Amino acid sequence: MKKFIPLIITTFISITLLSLDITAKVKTSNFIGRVVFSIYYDVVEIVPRLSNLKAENQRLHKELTKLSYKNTQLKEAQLENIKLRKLLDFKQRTELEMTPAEVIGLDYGRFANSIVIDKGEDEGLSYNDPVVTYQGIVGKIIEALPTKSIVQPLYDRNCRVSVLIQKNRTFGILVWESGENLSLKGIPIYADVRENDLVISSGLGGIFPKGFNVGTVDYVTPEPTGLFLEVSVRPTADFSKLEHVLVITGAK
Amino acid sequence: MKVLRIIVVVLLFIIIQGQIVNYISFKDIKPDLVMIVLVYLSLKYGPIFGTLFGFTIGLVVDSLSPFFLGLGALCKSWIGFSVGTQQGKFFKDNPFTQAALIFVAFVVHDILYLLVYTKLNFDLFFDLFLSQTLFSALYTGVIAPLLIYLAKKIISGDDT
Repeated sequence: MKKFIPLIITTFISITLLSLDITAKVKTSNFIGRVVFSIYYDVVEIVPRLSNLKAENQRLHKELTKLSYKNTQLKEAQLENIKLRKLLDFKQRTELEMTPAEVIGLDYGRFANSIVIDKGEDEGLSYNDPVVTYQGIVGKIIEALPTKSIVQPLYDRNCRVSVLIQKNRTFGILVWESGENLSLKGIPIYADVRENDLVISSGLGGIFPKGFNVGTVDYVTPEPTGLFLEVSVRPTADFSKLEHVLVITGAK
Repeated sequence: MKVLRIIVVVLLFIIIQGQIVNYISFKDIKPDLVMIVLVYLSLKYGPIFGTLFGFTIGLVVDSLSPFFLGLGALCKSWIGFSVGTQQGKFFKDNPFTQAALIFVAFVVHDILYLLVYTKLNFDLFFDLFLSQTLFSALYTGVIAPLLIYLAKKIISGDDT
């Protein structure tokens, strides 16, 4: 009988944790992360880094991302200008603050994917900060520890990104179900979507700023219902070579 | 001193899982070293140890993806308990017995986990089970004997 007591207690605690709302879960995970992962990653990061090369590399990545972003923004401005001619007023875009970070851990769980980066709250990072590379969106921060952060990548079933197809401004939601591509949901059957169309963040939802590359259309087929299209999207960010990322702070 | 060696084994397996396993994985098929150490230590030290260790290690893994916080802890505590009740009955040095037991524990763990994770969406359940669980369980079972040998050597060359 004695052996059942720990099982009953741990079962009760586990079910209680499972039934918490997401804010409480994030806070609890944050607490566990502070205790465990800060020490773990301090132990793992034992290879000394060449700080000059690292700083230069980070500066160049930041510059490249800004230039790539500006390029997409110019195209956006062109398309937007046509609409804005018919409007009486518009808002000015603000400069985004970006913090470079290095990827130090990948995919610990088998069903829930995550990326760990080497910057955290101490550097001004916080929950829901978008994470990008010069190629495009990588994901968003779901836990900000003091000196590390856990990133939920696009390749996680709980990650949803509001996007639009740059060419025709059709809105949709990007999700990952399985495999190497993402799925774009909510595209009506009559939408003009073709292979290699660029998919960018729409800015809706308040997490990812508008205009960041997310992916390109790989193929399009009608859904069995006949109401929507099944759009498969290849991410622009190269997740197989993810070493350095940029975290957008102050975008909210 | 033995407690320290156990901690070293657990940390070593976790570090290998976090830092090296991605390089020896094939798409979504990857071994779970945490399962190996859970099964080994539960068989060695019994159901109470297995329950508590499974709960703790499950909770640590869950914290990386807070949406399902508690689920891994629940499943691993039950696996630790179940395997621990077989203390002394299995796990002689036969690598096939070791591989088979870990395969079964892996599959049972994932069935419990996926039933909740997929919210009883059986299409997704079978998709994940067939594409990830079975092959990952086989992979884990195959490499288990080597890692168990390593764990035994670190914990004073124990034979049980």
